Amino acid sequence: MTYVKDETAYEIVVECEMEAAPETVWRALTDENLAADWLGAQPASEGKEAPGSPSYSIVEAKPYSRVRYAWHDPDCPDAPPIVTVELERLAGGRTRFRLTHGEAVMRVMQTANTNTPPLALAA
Amino acid sequence: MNESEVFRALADPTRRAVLERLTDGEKNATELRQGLRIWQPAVSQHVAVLRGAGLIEETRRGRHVHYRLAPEGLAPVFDWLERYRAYWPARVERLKTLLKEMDR
Repeated sequence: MTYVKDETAYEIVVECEMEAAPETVWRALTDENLAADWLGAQPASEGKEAPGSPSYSIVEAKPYSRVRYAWHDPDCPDAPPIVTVELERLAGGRTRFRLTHGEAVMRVMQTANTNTPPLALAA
Repeated sequence: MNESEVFRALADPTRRAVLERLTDGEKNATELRQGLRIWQPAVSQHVAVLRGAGLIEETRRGRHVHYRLAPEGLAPVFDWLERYRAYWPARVERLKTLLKEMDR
């Protein structure tokens, strides 16, 4: 079952169980063509953004466990720029899947800011 | 108001806490501080960022400054939420289909 968690207004989380092993899910997350297919986005590396179409690039890939995509949507240019997918192996060749858009980037920004003045101070 | 300023302002948990404290109505500076467990100067700094991003407004009455939410300031967030709340579940469904195709 797929559901959207909505506890805070600043993140979108989609969680579900996949009828496939983490290795298979991993391939779909990291193969350029497969990822472009399900993400509905062009790989940013191609450098030719289709108008109105989001683009992605992989910024972190921890095998069978976590992928972070840099995300750019020309129609929503200031939306949170990171999409995180986390995987967890389940019994019976299945995989728990969790996609987060929003909150994860906030955590990343805080981590990145520990040694530098917070970005927000410039606001 | 700049949209990225809104998201940047929301990127901080203390600022989100400040906003949440204002969801049940206007508060003065003292009321706003209660329960936040951070120094007053830090609160002022966060409030300044939130004001700069157009997320809260202040009015001065006598010796007190009152703060309230500026809900229209959250419009870029609602735009993003509306778009992607529909987008991601649909894309995850596509991934499920793709995984079945890969199996074959």
